Order: sequence, then C-alpha cells, then structure tokens
Amino acid sequence: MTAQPPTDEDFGRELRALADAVAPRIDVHRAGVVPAARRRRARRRAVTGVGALTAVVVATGWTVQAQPWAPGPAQTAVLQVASSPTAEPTATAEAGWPDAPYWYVREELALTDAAGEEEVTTRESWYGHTGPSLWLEDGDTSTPGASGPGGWGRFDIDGVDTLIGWDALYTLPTDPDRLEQILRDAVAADRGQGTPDDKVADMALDLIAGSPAPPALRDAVWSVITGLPGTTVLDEATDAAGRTGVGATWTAEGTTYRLVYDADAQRLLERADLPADAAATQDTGSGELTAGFRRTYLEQRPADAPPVEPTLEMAGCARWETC
Amino acid sequence: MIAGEAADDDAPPDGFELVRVATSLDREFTDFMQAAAPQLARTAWLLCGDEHLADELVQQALARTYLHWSRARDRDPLAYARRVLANLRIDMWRKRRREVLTAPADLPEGPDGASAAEQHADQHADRDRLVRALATLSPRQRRIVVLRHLVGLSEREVAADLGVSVGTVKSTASRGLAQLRSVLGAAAADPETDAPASERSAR
Repeated sequence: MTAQPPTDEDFGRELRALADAVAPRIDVHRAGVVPAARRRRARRRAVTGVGALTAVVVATGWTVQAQPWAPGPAQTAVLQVASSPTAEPTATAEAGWPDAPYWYVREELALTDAAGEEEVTTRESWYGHTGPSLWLEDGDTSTPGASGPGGWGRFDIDGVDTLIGWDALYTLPTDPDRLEQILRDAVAADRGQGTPDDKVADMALDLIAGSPAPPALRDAVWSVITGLPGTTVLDEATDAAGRTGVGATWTAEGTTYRLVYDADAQRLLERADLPADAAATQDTGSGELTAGFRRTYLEQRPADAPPVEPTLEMAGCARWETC
Repeated sequence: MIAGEAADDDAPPDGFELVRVATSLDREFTDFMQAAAPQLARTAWLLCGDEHLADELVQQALARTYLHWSRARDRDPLAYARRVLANLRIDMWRKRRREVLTAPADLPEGPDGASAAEQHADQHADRDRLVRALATLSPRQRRIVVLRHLVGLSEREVAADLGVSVGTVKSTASRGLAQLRSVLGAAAADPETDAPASERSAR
C-alpha cells in the first residue's frame, strides 16, 4: 500500500515542530524600546508644532455649515470649526497657505500595463479656494476641464457627509493621534475598501495628495499612515522623477499602495497603486513598476488665477453649486 | 494640595492623577513587552533568519506599538505588534542567504545520552537547513508560510495581518510549502552538500 504524502497541514505541523526545536533563544534588548519611541514621538511633535499654531477643535466637536456651492446642508457640508482661544497661525511658510486663491499642481499621471508600457499625461490643475477649479492636460488650452472648488476627500463626520475643502484642511488637528481618531471615527462600513486601517490610510492620503494642506497636517498624515501596523516604512524611496524621500507601502484588497514623501519639504512626492501580485516582483526602493497607476507631483504652490477662466460648459455642469 | 482649594477628600491633588495614569500605562506596556518579546522574537527570526536582526526587528515593532499603545491595548496588543513586525521591511535575506549560521548556545546532555557536542551539531544542522529552506521563498511566500504554519495563525488572521485575501493566503501558502518540501526533501536526500563547511571538515 502506497503511503499517502503528507497534506499541507501535516507538513506545516512538521515544520512548526522543527522550528520549535531549533529556534534560538533571542533575548530582545527591551530596555531601549520605550526611550527610543519617546525620542521619535518628541521629534515628531517638534516638527508638527502640536498645540502651538493650529486652531483647536472645541470640546463640543465639529460644527458644520452649508456653503453656497454645496448641494445642501442635508446632503453635504463644508467642515468648519469654531475659533479657538489659542494663537492664530502666523503668515509663514510653516503655517501653510490659508488665504491663497488657488492651489497649482503640476503632476504626471502614468498608467502602466502588465507589459510595462507606460502612458504618461502631464496635468496642470488650479484648485479654487472658493471659486471653481480648472485643469489642463499636456498644456492643451483648447480642451480644459473644470469643476467646483477644490476638495481633498470626503468622509462622515458626526454622521454628516463632509467634503474636506481648503478651509477644512486648516482646521484639522495636527497631532497624529487626534487626527487618526477623527479619521477612525469617520470609517463607514459602506464606504471605501478593506479593513478600518486601510480606510484610515485612504482618507489620510486624500488630505495631502496635491493639496494645500499646511505642512504640519502633512507631517501628521504621514505619521498616521506610517503608524498603521500594516504599513511597511521605507527609510529611502525614489519617485519616478528621481527624487528621494521616505516611503511607505501597504496592501489592501489586492492593491499595494506606495508613497514617497519628502520629509524635509513636507510634501507628498508620489503615490502609486498597483496589483498586489505585481508588487511582489517590484523593487519598492527604486520605484520601478510592473503595472499600475501613479501620480507624481512635480510642482505644488499657491497661485493667483488659472490661465483660462473655468466655465460651466467646460465642467459639463448646470450650476457650480452642484458641480 | 493648594491651601484653600475646594476639593473632594478622595480626589488627588491637581495633576497627580494624570501622572499616575501615565505611569500605569508604561508599566502595562513594560509587562506586555516582557511577555510578548519571546514569541515576537521567534516570529522575527523565522522571517529573517538572523538572531541579531530579529532582535532589532522586535525592538522596532515594540517601539511602534508603544507609540500607539492607547489603541493597541484596546484591541489585541500582541496581534498589533505581530502585524507591525510582519510588515517591517526585511531585506537582509538577500545579503545573508549564503552565510553559515553561528553555533547555538550550549545545551545540556539529552535524555538519550547524546553528548552536548552531538546535540549542538544536530540542532545546528537542522536550524541551518530550515533557515536556508525559508530563504528560497519569496518575501511574501515566507511571511505567509511563517505566519500560517510556523506561528500557527488562521488563514483569516494571516490575511488581516498582511492585507491580502484569504484566497491569496491559501494559494501562496500552498506554493510555499511545496517549495519547502522540495528543498528540504533534497537536503534530506543529500545531507553532505547542505551541511555547514565546519561540519564537513570534521567528518
């Protein structure tokens, strides 16, 4: 009688028994763990200036006011926060660009097929602070696109579907723990993909991808993303433009997300999505993709006005309020 | 307590309770570290094959867990730390794959009368064989096989730790085990070629 080969479970148990028998005893040097973590936390707080310059959410929570261009207070609203008794942000680069009329972004949009062929489009966008937004592709002013004022994510806050507009970016807390809690509280079962951690990462990323978010918020978002347990942090990563920063990757629902962040300039350089199977063969350090989609943010800055005035016809909308 | 300050007789002085809570959380985390470190170290060693790197990886995972202790403690802190560990970038395999492992710590004489030297040699050889076999897997195969079969997590737990589907865990684990069966089977058939150089020279 021919003996049956061991099943995967049987073989797995044999391996485990072997591992139990031969695994070395490793005395982890625990004494330095907490001091090292505290130093990292202190460095993070020094960069984000927690409690120093940012408006603080009042104890009663977020207040929500409808904006003229929003569809209606019952459906969506722009986040507002009651003024704080703490210091107002000073008009410095560290405080961001709370009053600029437009946010200009020049980016590469690259779609890569499984054969490695890349289709690249250069997009220039002028995101309106209160006015409509415009974008051009490959410099073609004959076919511009348009939409309402800029928005960087939308999620539930206290049960209200809330668009995160320009002003809202300047009211979010820049303490990573508090920011993460707000995002975690906004996780909805019927919105987004993956685990709650995946949804938190997705919402956090939306806040800083090509946005006028203040540098302190960008650093806080980076801390939230890199603090999630499923995130792999890369000490060094290079984007498609050859710029080097720090990196983060995580996999959710079969897609691997890869980010490159310039910690010195405090801005997101690139985000890329690719199928998880393809990611297994990718060099996450150099950024060479085998398939997927990436957005490389080449330039981001405040701007006065777009080169072409956005029109409802460009946007294909009847009213800016519903565009 | 400040003179003249109205206060409940049972309430601590201003600020004292906050300090007490912080200390208790640190104490709680320290106790967690002591209990969890051995298991995390074993997992780390299986993932990277190097004792010193495993020590560093566990320290990294614990530090990140400490930074999020207020949330980790509300869930399963060991699972949280393990998930951080499983997703750390472990790229030392490419550098250390062909290195001979260091000898294990001294062991007492076994119940069957085998000498300590013989036990050292046997355990050294088995350890080397396991580490070399794991090194032949891709990083994702190794993470999945280690977590699923060598740590003993369920398919669902592995899927949650690594952000993949249960189907991916099943198929990747199966391919990984097939690879290990092939490698370990070949090593068992010809142990001379797989033994460390120091042992070959002693025979």
